[in-house]
Amino acid sequence: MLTVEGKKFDWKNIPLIQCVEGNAKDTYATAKVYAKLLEEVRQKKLEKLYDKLIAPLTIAFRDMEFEGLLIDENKMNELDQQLQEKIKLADIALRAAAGLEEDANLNSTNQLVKIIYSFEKNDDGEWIQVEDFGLGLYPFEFTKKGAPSTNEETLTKVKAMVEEEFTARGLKVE
Amino acid sequence: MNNEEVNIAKAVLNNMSDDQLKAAKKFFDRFSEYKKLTKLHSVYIEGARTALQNTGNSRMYVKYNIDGTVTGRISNSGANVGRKKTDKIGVSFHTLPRESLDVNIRDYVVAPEGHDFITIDMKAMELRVLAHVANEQNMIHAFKSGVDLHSYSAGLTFNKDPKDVSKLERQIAKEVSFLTVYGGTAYTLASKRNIPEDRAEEIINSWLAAFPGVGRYMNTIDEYIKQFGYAKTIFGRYRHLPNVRSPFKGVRREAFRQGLNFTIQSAASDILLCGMLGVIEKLKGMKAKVVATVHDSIELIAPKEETRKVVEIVSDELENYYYLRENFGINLKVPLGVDIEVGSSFGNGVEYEL
Repeated sequence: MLTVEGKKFDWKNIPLIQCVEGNAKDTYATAKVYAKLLEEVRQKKLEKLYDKLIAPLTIAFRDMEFEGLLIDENKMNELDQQLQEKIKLADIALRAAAGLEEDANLNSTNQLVKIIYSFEKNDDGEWIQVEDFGLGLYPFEFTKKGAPSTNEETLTKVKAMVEEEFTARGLKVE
Repeated sequence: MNNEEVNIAKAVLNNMSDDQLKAAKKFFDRFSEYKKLTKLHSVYIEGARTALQNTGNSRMYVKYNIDGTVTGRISNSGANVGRKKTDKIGVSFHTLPRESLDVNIRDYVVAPEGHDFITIDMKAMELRVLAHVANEQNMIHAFKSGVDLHSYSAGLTFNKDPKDVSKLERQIAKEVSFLTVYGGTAYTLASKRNIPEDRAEEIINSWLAAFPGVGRYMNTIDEYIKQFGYAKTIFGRYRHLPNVRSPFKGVRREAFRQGLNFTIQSAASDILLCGMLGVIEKLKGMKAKVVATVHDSIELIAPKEETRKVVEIVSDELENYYYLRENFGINLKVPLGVDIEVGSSFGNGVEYEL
């Protein structure tokens, strides 16, 4: 957060005369930078690119940004329903594949660790292996706190490894 | 990542029974489907809802970033009126997914009553640019004669009449062409197509033999980058590549790949943007408007009575690139082509024949 003399910066806390001065300096500095950059643009022979493409594009995009895009809210609600329906089904299918109870929280990290690596936190806060639950994959990456990692990057790797082995054995999805 | 640990993880997988492995595969398939759906919902439904609440006029606003990428491609994001996540007044138009998992999110971006939503997509833009900059005669010939490029290149690659090329062979040829442009190796193709690596290498080599200009171009670019330390496009844009002087071979290779890719992707993007500027100039005085641009396409909204005229103007400008010729003096060695879709929304357009 931008602060001025310990206070949160807000134009309304700045006396008008200071705003005027600040803006004048801003304009002056911009003009100076413009001259300097223009020189560089000329040196690199980028004038045409700037004049014929970049500059007119800023105008074109300004217009598009102002225009915005019209949204059909009824359609959006319909899509919302469709998606929620699909999420519900995907959720049921996923729970079945993971051997989870209906009320288990799929989005909890501990739950994912238990499903994917068959590890669980004991009362002393240590990660221990559990029998007869989960996929039993080997955790090869850990978080700073020492938990088997379930971040997106790691899971993408784990998934790829599983798929590689799956294909190598010539197995088919049932 | 610790390599030893990864090897143990692989050994553990190796020791699993088929049933255990199947269970793991099933879990990950379902998990990624679930994640995709919840992400779609939170970004494009909940995100859009927040945006609409903030704007209060059934509109979303997109912010375009002219300097958001190293290639000069335009990126965009949902605009916001403050710093918090809840201050958004739009979602990224850029990543608005095509129909995926049977849900067509793009369908909620619509044209007003009595108007059409028009999408104009440049056909195979990057490969056309490759043919032009590499001056690759076979590729130029294919584009000029209007044959399907990937069947044609599959024919040359697999030494067959293009008519007899199988769907899979066409797909492989297509992948090889993009591997070349975006940088990929025999390993990439081998693992994607599940074929031995030396077979993949063979395929890539025969593709390159079919289009000798591409290999020559790659060498020319490599030499240029080695000499100057940057790559430059036909528009004069630079990309500095200091990593070509790295002591590490992998880092150098990556820099050369970026340089090659830059000369194609950046030019492709600039050609489209010139086309868009030409279109905007020609639409002055009409009610139709360009409302967005994403990837290799531009999106317009036009009153129904103007649609035909607008499509004529836009295809003429994009195919004949007057703006590009007049302002940059660039004459392409290949023709440009467009796909036109018209509908009532961004998602429901159907092919439009002039």
